[in-house]
Amino acid sequence: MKIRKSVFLFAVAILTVLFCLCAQKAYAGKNWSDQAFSEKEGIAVVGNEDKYEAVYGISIPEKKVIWKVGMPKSHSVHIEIDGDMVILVALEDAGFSKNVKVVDLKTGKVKWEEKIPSAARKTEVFKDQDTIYFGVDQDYRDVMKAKVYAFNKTSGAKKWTPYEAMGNIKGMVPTQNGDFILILEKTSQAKGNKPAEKSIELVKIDKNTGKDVWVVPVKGTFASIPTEHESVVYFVTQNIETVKGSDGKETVNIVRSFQAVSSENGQILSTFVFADKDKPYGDPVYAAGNPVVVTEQGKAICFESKPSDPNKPVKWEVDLGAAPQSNILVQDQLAYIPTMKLDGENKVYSVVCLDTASGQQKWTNKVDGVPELPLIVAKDTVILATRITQGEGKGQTFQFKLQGINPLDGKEKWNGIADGKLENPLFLKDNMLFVMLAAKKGSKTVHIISMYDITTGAAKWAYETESVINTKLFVDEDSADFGTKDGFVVSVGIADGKELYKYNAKSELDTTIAASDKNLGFATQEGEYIIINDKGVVEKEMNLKPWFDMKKISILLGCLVLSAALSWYIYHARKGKEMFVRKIAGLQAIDEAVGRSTEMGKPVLYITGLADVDDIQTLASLSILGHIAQKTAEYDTPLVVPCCRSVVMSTAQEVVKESYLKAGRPDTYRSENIHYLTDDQFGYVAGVDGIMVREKPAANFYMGKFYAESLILAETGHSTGAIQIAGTAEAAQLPFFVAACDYTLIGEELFAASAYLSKDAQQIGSLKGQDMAKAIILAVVAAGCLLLTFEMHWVKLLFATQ
Amino acid sequence: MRREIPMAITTLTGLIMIIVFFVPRWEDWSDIFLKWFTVIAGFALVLGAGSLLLVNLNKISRKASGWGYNVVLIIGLLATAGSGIIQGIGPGTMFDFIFVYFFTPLSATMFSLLAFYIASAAFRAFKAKSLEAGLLLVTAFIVMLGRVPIGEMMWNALPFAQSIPLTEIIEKWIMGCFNTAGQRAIMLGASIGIISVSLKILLGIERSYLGGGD
Repeated sequence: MKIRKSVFLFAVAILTVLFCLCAQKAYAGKNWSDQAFSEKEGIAVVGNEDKYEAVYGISIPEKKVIWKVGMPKSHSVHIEIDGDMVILVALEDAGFSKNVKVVDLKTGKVKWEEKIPSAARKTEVFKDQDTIYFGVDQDYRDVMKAKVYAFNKTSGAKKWTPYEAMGNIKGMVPTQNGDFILILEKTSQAKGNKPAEKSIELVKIDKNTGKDVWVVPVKGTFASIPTEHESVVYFVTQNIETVKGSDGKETVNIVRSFQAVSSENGQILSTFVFADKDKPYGDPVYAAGNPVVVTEQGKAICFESKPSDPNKPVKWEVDLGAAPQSNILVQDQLAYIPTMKLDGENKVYSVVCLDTASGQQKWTNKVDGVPELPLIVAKDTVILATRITQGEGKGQTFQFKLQGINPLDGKEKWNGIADGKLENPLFLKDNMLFVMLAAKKGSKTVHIISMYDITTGAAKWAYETESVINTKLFVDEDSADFGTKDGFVVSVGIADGKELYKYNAKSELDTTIAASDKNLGFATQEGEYIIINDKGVVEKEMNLKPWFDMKKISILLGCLVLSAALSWYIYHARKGKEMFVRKIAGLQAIDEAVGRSTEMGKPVLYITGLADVDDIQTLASLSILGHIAQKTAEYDTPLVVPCCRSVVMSTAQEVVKESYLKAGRPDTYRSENIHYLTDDQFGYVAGVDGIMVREKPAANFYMGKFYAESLILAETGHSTGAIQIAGTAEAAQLPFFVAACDYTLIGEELFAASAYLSKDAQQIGSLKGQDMAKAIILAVVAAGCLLLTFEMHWVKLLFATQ
Repeated sequence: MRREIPMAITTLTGLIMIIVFFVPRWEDWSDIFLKWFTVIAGFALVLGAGSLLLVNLNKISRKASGWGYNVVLIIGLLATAGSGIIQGIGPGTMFDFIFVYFFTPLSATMFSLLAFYIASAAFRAFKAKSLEAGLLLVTAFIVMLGRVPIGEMMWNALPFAQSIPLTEIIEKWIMGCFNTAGQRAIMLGASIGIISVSLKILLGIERSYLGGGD
């Protein structure tokens, strides 16, 4: 016995050491928030999201974590560096409130913290020099209320009583004088046949008092995000109107309007209703002192910023003759619009340039291929990338064309063609344009990063890699750095495109790259934050995951209390204390059922459920099977066990074989009686029903996990006249078993069965422990009900796991 | 040794699964163990298929009663597996044809039996032989009435019905109070049972799943 125990302990010890050695380089989680970086201090702030929330301040020059701030368990953390402080916003209480923390960038000391109740995940954050404003939606008995909070940046003191209004916050628009306009969307309650209606409200809030200066209601909903320029707020609304025709039929029209409201006094300066089919493409763009809207139908409309006649707000209107492919891009009084026109079945793409002052079309440049958007407008060059497709299906090839266009006359300054397809948006820094392409090279796809000089259009260099570039490019004075999908960080010389180093990070990067003092810092999807130097050598690797998830402390304590209760009674049972166990009818009937089968000369059918051996109900079922197999061996009655899982079949064969051996009847054991049918739910049911109908077993046992098949099995068994005993912890299937079987083990009785049948003192002790655990839980439930009745809600937090 | 090694593996695996639940640095180990289980289950499937073939071929060779069904099963097994191995399982293949035109309708047929069995089981369960059975019958009648449109129509025709909506009685009172309380009590008991069995397995007190009953 001692040798057995020693072998057991030795095996556990060896395996534990092996596990610890393997776990040293642990697999870690994913989902880091992207890092915010202070170039001045060289401090990166990165959040570990979702499971064990914490935000870390990492000094890249010092190569260490300089602070850590705990956050609520959340799916996202908003991190923003503002001077010498960091603003952190996370969801709390399963998303029903926002946790706001403002911490010192250098020390991580929490300057102040607030909890803001909210009904929606979105938060509007708006800052000025000394105040942070938070706009949230709150749900009051199914009615949405918007609330705006203002906190002093350094002390966290509330500047004024939170501003309240009905509706959902759609935005907060800063105005020139430092106040802001709150954009609200309201929904009226549906009454009878009248459906709920939406409307808009613009509210100007005085930043010093938190009171509204003016409120302007507007019909409809927002079709664009409002913006303010020179004391005028511009936005587009849409409104659904039902019009009754002369024939009595109702038609639904969507009316879209451009609105201009004075931010000084809330006066509606102009309202322009777009023609029936005209739908604005994106938000109004501010060009040379006036808002310009381009419509999906190919019109560019420029509005007066402050029209003298509110009924004539249009400054100029131009028909482009083609559909825009993106919103307009404005620079130096010129507006650029990529367009597409159908020529028969062919699509013809062009770039149109307009003078924003007069609306005059300066030039139109026909494009080869499909434009890769957005366009890039540099100081004296418009850069246009296009994709040229040749062939179809598997033989399809792509070419990438880059053009530099003179913005004054639309003439091509330079061009370049390369094989491949653009993988990431073009990236411009100073005069360097970085292009990332995927191109076919034989049977392989290679990924190429090229650098162009936009003054001459010359390709300076190209670097080729076999893996996808999946991070934003980080460009400094000497190098361009990026991460690849196969887990490498590559640094390429900016002058010649030669590889400076290739560092194996072993997993994909989960954040952008930050750099300070010639060192790069980034987090990987394996959970580590790594700092490497300009030679690509690791300076520091930091696993930022905690060793214990404090949010699960209540679960651990609960398990410990229950385990202590169980262990206490097991201990006393070992000491020989007599314990009473109530009779369980279903288990007492096992002898009767097996005896009946023996008398009738029919087999016993045992079903272990649909789950695999990793389910605790299947394990409990296999324990009961052992006892029943011993009985059938003693009575020399055939035992048939059709299994739904092959692992369960192998285990059941061992269990039954051991039982027959223990009963002294190994010769009567038939391995073919414990056989596999199918993993499919209804295929299995069909197989078992077939056995029931053909072999007519006199006793059927259904023990384990069951789903919809429970009643089909039990009813078929009932129709064959068998005595039936079922047991499951699936609450949804219990009524079916109760209705169709003679005896049913309900929930915990299934798990108690093995102890009950074995009469083993230790196991009986565990049953007593279960009862004590139930008594503890009942006491906690009663105390919880009482405390909550007296509004002591803190009690809920003791059991919170999120 | 036949007991000690499996018990050591069980105890260790159980402990690791508990530890990784609380230790974020090691949490992905639970996924790794699940992958191991999938691999083992994949190999065990060969055992399952072997068992299926042996049992059915044995019955055919003995010409046991109903051996024709076993022939159909063997043909079905070989045809499905063979077509999948040779042609693949994509759309338009023989495997796909068998799946769509044999397997799916047969599965649906088995599932549809449930509707009839619910009726026959309900008929037996609702026999008002005692006070409890009578209460069950009345409650079931009210719930069924409330779940069909005609029930609500009939209820609304009653003079006092406007002040007490039927759905309130069913959803909030019967289902929300009695049913939920009963279900939660079962779940609570089952959860403690699960903890108890797990602890017994970890401590090596419960060994009957290894065979032999103790």
